[in-house]
Amino acid sequence: MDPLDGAGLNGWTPVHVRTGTGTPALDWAIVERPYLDPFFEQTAYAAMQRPFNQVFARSTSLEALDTLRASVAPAGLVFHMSRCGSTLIAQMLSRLTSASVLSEPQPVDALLRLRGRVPGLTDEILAARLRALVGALAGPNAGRSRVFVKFHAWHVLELPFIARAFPGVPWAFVFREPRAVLASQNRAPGAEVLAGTIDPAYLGLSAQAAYAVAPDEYAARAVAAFCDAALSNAAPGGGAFFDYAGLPGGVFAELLPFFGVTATEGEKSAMHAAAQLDAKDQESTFRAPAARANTTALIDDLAARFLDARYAALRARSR
Amino acid sequence: MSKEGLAALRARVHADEDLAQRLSRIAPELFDGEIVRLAAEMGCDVAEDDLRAAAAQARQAWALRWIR
Repeated sequence: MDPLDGAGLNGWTPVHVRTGTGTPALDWAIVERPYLDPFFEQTAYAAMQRPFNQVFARSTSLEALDTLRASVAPAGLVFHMSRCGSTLIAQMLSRLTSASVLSEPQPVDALLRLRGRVPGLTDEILAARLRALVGALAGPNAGRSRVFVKFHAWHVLELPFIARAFPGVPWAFVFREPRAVLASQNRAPGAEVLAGTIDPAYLGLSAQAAYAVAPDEYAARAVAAFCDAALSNAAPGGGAFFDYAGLPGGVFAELLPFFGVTATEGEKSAMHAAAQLDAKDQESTFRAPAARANTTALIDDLAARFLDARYAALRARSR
Repeated sequence: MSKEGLAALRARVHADEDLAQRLSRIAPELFDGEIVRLAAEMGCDVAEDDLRAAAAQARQAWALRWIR
């Protein structure tokens, strides 16, 4: 690994954190294109196809983050319950000419997963590294001055810590009618609802119990925990709640003002165009789902047991 | 010898932000030839085979991370 200080990292972007074995390492590359892909991972992958990065990419310890001078306060944080339009929101925000959207960046996920697991890595140190990481992720990106972070669904479970790391930064929680969410997770489960990917204690389960629960029920329990985390941190002024049903218009009417953004007509036009595409596959046109998801009796039952009351509470708080 | 040359070139690139930015903008199809030429100008002995080997190793390592 490079023995680096922050000055030596100007112009480099942290693209990946390796935490598998031994000391965690941070990989850096030069990323030239703006973050317009649905997920940061796609931008990082493309950067690593460039011959320059294949030959000259560098690695540092996580301590290198402690030496970075630049730190950026995000303009807004986006949390979500999964399968609820948050990627659409990220895509729309990315069309603001002054904005960089960090969409579920792996380095942020890796850093959050270290919380409480590394001796000596206090919340204070981790929060400072998270701020430095976000600054480094956003820093070189085509001179865009405003940064939004869209987190993985499970990160809302760390909302109190993240809010302390970014004091005063507005956060939004995006949600959706639970049957549609569960039906989507049933068709193609995301990592966030697979047993073993997050600490089962978040769901009130032991490790053994997490694997014993049927996959659809585990998904319902996980999504319920995401909703609970958002609701329990919903102090006045502490966040805003956005229903999928109000998208994409709610981005213009509610989210941009909430984040203190005034979009130009050109930006609005670009955001409308982005909203016409499939948020996770920019080569496909978005097809609106049926108003009510085709669900099975199992999904109806799981929604009723785990999510309907939470959905009602979220709707009561939404804008 | 040229492995040491590549290591020396890497150290130069990592220490010089402007140089890194300039090299990162070299078109992929010109990359190996340009790097060998620039390395020679800087007194670093680097061959195209070294670059191809380094790139292949990096591609494999990155792909494994992606799969994981």
